[in-house]
Amino acid sequence: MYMEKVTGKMVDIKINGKDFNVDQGMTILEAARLAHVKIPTLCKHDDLPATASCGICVVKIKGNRKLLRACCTYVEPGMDITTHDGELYQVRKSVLDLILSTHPFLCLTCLRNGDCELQTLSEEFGIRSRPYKEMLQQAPKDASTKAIVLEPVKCIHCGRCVEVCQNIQKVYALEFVNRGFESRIAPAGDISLADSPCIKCGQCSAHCPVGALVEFSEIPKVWDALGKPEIFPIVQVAPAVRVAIGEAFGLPSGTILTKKLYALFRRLGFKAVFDTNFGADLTIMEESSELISRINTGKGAMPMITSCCPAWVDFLEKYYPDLIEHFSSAKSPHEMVGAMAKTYYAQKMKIDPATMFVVSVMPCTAKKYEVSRTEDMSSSGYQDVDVSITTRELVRMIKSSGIQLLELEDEEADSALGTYTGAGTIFGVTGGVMEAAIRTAYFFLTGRNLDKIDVDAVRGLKGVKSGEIDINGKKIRVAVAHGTGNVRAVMDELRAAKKAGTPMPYDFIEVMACEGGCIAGGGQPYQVTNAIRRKRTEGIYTDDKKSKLRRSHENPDVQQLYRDFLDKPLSPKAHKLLHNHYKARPLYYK
Amino acid sequence: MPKMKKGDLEKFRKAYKPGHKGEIMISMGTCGIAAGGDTVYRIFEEELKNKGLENIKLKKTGCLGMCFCEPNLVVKLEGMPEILYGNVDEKAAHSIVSEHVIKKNILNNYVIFMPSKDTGMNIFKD
Amino acid sequence: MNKQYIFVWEPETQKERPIYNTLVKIINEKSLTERFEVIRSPFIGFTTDGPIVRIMPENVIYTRFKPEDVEAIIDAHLKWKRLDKFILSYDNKHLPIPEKDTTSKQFKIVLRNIGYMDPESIDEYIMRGGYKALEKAIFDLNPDKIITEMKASGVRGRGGAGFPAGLKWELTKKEPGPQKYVICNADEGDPGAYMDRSVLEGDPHSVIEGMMIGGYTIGADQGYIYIRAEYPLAIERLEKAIAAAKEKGLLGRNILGSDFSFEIELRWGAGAFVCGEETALIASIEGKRGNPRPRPPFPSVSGLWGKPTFINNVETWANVPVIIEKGGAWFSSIGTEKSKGTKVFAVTGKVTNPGLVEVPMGTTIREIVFDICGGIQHNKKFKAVQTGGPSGGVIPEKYLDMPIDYESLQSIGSIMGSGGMIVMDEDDCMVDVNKFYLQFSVDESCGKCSPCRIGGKQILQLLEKITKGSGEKEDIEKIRSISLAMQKASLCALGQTTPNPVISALQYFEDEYVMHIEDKKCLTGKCRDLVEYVIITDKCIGCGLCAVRCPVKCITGEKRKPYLIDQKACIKCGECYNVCKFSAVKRG
Repeated sequence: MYMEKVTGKMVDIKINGKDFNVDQGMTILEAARLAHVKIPTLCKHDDLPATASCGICVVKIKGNRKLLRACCTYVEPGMDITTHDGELYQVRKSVLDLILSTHPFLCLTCLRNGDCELQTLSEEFGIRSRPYKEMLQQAPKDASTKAIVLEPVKCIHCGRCVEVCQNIQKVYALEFVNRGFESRIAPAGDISLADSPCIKCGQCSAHCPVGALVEFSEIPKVWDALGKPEIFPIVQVAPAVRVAIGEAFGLPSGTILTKKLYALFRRLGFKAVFDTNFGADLTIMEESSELISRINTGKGAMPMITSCCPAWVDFLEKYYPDLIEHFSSAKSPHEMVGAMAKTYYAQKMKIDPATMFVVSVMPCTAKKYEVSRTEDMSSSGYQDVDVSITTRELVRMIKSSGIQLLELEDEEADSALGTYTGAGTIFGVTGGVMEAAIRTAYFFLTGRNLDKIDVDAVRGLKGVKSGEIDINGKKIRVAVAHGTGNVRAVMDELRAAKKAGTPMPYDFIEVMACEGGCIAGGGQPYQVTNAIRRKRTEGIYTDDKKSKLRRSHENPDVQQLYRDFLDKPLSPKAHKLLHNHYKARPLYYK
Repeated sequence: MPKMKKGDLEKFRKAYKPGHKGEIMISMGTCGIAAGGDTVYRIFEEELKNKGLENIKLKKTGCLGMCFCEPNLVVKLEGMPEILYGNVDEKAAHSIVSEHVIKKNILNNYVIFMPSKDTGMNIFKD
Repeated sequence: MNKQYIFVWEPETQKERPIYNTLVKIINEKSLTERFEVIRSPFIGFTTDGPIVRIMPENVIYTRFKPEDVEAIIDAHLKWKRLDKFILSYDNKHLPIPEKDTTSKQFKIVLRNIGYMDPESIDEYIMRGGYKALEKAIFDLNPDKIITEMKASGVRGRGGAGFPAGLKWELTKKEPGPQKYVICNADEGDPGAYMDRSVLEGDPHSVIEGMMIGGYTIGADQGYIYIRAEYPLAIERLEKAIAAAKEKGLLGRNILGSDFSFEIELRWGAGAFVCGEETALIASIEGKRGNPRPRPPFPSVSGLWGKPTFINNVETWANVPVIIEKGGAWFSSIGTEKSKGTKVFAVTGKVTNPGLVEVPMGTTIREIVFDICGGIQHNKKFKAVQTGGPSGGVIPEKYLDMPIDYESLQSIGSIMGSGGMIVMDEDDCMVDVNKFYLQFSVDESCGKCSPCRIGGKQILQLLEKITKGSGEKEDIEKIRSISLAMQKASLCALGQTTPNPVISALQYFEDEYVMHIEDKKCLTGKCRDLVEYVIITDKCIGCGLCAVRCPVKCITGEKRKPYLIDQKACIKCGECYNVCKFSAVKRG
């Protein structure tokens, strides 16, 4: 996570002739905002440290004959900065012309058309001609993961994806190969992404300024299903989507649009509208029971680690396969809803499950991979979830349909698999799964409900959070990690304890691959920063607070599901449909 | 070998005796070697051994900067001026031993010698 | 000091040996004993008349002179001249007093030991005064005094940037420790430059000693020498030198019995010119991709693994022991006002005597090219000299008398660089030379920042267009605007200086560019698509030599009648132009 440096030491500087007194930890780019100037940038993302590659943000400093990059130069006492003048415009425009000479002019057919940082900059600089010869790199598209698509010819070498994949996620699936003009983005050894350690978390695509790294669009499949009368299309929507999708329509981050989304889905033609939060409640029932069973019987590896994040599952299977036994065997919420839809719901409503087409709307690109990850994902006899699309794809579907989302009347979901408690909705943020599990585990163990329903220890953006929960005298030590880069430290702790034979440091660990949790997932709207993460998180917690029911075990439809169909948590039927298996995977398939 | 301490360096310098009556230094930088310096070195090695001239030291040295006449070498003998020979081929190498070293005759065609203002630190006190 | 030897033979009849005695007396009176040595010699030959004196190394033989003439002879030879009156013979093949003197204008500080000692012998290095400076630094001086000396010397970084070394020493010492690093940049990547290689192969201890003095001053205990893998002999000699120094207690723990400990490790480069840039070098040592980083922060504040790091070029380090031993004031007495000391240049190209020269700053280009290096080969005409390698510019004839120092070179559009000097004559095409340098820079660009990665390739593409005959009028303007973007917005000096050769060639040789673009002609013949070889019928006598030499046999004709070149088959190699004794082939 990129945080602004606050040193507390103030210095006097001049920007465009005016005096300012600013914190010494500020970069020139940040300080210029105080002078009402947003210095043009291209490779800089507010969520990441500067890579200093594009050269657009150069500014003049008095006394220095060189131009310096504003994104990575910190202010110094007495600095006299000019942010714009004729020469700077000329230099910046020339650099932009050079970048454009290596970029294919395929905007009309590009996934980022209308939402592309290079388009925006070109428009702002008034580019009307191409003075330099077009020199494109010939490199093929890589869609091998079927979750993320890499198109090197569109890459502008900003380095953000490498920064995210190597230094933040620490997956090391992307790097620059070759040198100079021949350099481009690829996994090490120039293999395909599917053969690399890539966990499909999509953080690269969420930070890419252009169409070089995008989600694997499956919109046509959904329209196709919606258009066939013999198909029974079903949709479910993740918690993180409802607080972020408003951003694409001009609303502030964190605006809750749940009920409008339900209405939208029906307008689009979905015949059943469910909510993944129901699945979240169901997951808690299974997972809490599993945790308590491991604690009480002593059978099953401790600590138990959550497994609802498919990018995280892939990460552990690849990098820490020796810890697989610690995974909870419960599936992720949307897979559970899919499985229940094609069994419980199909039987209940007397619909042939072969005609069902389940679509998950997720903030996540890894879910595209998850739907066919193992045979367990077809536990119903058919692929439980047929396709998963990202928030960004839904936005395009909405716009192409013409439906005015914000004008719709609120509607409700189909209750059979649509009701949810506050515990279900907080799955969208880091710490939410842990908090939900604690709320229910407490009840399962003591028969009573937690006095303080909000578990603050597991909330917030700190990379690794830990605490001790007292359940009736029994201490449960929990850890919550988000961002696979931060998780490594925790996993290394477990390995070290195992090797030394010392007791394990935790009992229950929640992991989300994306920093901030699903609300900042790889498929969410662009330009995420910590400020936006906080706003989306606030939206989720508000949704939780507003809910009538706030504990998973209180969900009446979940209770009905067990009564009518599953019998009880961890039953054989539950195991068959709601649990899955893991296996070690190689980091490199070649 | 015991490690040196303060003052040992000066003692070493004072006590140093080269112990030979002359030396032949062949420029063996990468440039000299590329021009054939190692062949020349081997010839000298052999010749000095065969002719029993053990009190003449054969040394490798770095590039003198005279790249236009590689391979080159310097012959230093007691009682004779230092001569820098250049463009030394195999024939010249043999001749230098038989003529210059043994008969003290300088081979004029190969002499490059240019007097130089040597500002280096102290060398052998002749 | 190289001496002159006077071999004296006097006939046995003169038992008193008047010549010998006079020689000795005069030499002692004039205090020339260091310069001249008088040796009684066996019979020298040539004549038995009178005394025979042979003065070496000039190889001049005098005879039939009297003791009164001895002084005149000595005076002449003191000035390296000869006294013709008494000459019996002198060696004609080598002018005893060379008119082109390659060494007297040189002043060897960095190259003080190279060629005079065995680099693999630490004993010889010590005998030549090595490690005196280290001993002095550790026991007689303290870090602040050392910095004072370095600042007084005025020495500037010899890697090309010319940053005042003393200031860098001070800044790095100021940074808090405890861990600091010393790095020697031995990744000499400029094409045609091999000064650092010679120093490392010929005198590795000087660099090691310099690094240790540096480490002692700033408070570092670990040094790295980043050396390009293409220098295996230098690597081998360095490793031997390090091992030898360690064995004697001159490197490693408790050096010379003091509390100062210092270790040196070698790190190999992997074929990237950009890793000579200091931040890319640091990234490479850290095991990362050799990309430069934005500065500030400078390596002296945050360098290798985030610690204060002290990087200097090989030549700078080799100067350090001399400065410490002789003092900064002595060093600053050499050179010009702003550029002190000497500089080693690797003069290559079309000169008669290419090689390494070390001259005091302020020596003119003419002195280096014409005096020391013997002028242009084959009596061709001087055109320009490129300094600073691919980052530098060309210097045309009108600046031949300019004294060389950092500021003066910059003022005419070039840079000192690491010391490569490539001399060009009338047969070199400036556009072709620019193309060569651009090809190099484009190949070596790391690719991180857009101005360099794309701009270099665009300029190269324009130059290729021009040399192939498809140049357009706007091309020069395009080159200038791309160059501006590269110079101002590139992340590191590689990108910032890539356009320098072109911009400087446009400054002094724009007419060549215009001729290539508008007339589609290359007068030197280097750009094959822009040259035509035609036989001048008036001058051709039909000897047929060109036809014999033509590699594609495209010249036809009858003996004693003018020959004809088939332009369609001609590959523009220029052989016919070179071999024709009658200047009957026109190139243009």
